[in-house]
Amino acid sequence: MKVKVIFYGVLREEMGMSEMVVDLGKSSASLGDLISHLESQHPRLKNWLKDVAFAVEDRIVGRSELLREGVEVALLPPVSGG
Amino acid sequence: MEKRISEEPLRLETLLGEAEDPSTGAWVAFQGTVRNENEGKPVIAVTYEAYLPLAEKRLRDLEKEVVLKFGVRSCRILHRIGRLRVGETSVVILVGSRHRKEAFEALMFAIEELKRKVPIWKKEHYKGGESQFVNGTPLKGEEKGR
Repeated sequence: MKVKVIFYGVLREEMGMSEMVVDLGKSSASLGDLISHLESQHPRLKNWLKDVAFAVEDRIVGRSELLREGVEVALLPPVSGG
Repeated sequence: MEKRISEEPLRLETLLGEAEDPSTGAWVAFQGTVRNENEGKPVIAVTYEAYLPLAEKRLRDLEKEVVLKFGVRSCRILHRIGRLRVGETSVVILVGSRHRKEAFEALMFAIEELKRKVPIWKKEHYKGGESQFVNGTPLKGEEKGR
């Protein structure tokens, strides 16, 4: 299945892009699967991932969250609003 | 539903203009503006960006949390995104309460929680051309049992 990953804040600069499509290669996958994929394919990202929150629409989601085809997962680095 | 986040210039006067409630005796306000330095570096502008679906929700939830937690009558929060020059306003918060003590406490809580909980990021632009994202606070999922 393919999902879209969207980078926010400093992650966009780290990755050199604002979004990418990830093919997880199987018909059903969890956020945990996506995270493992990102860690192995993008070592730059690996150091950030422990402090990154993952969101789908208006929810923060955990590793066990099942992803559907075409979902957009937002990667939210540590925040600095206000 | 009314947006809390916009690229338009923010004015505290906007919130103050709406502030009418006969049972409110104390109005306490916060206005955050872009400062011209940070950690010794000369700042000329900042760019704020937001993950809007969650940021809007968290600002609305924070307003409700403030009212419930402190027993105040109202809490309104507005945040601006985009590129802001020194002196421009990034955030305004207005709390209305029967009495002033909880109004001050509620306002303090509101700005502190906003900085921890809302997916908004600040990038500073320095004289000389460099820019850098400010170090932030890692977000958590919905917290239970508050």
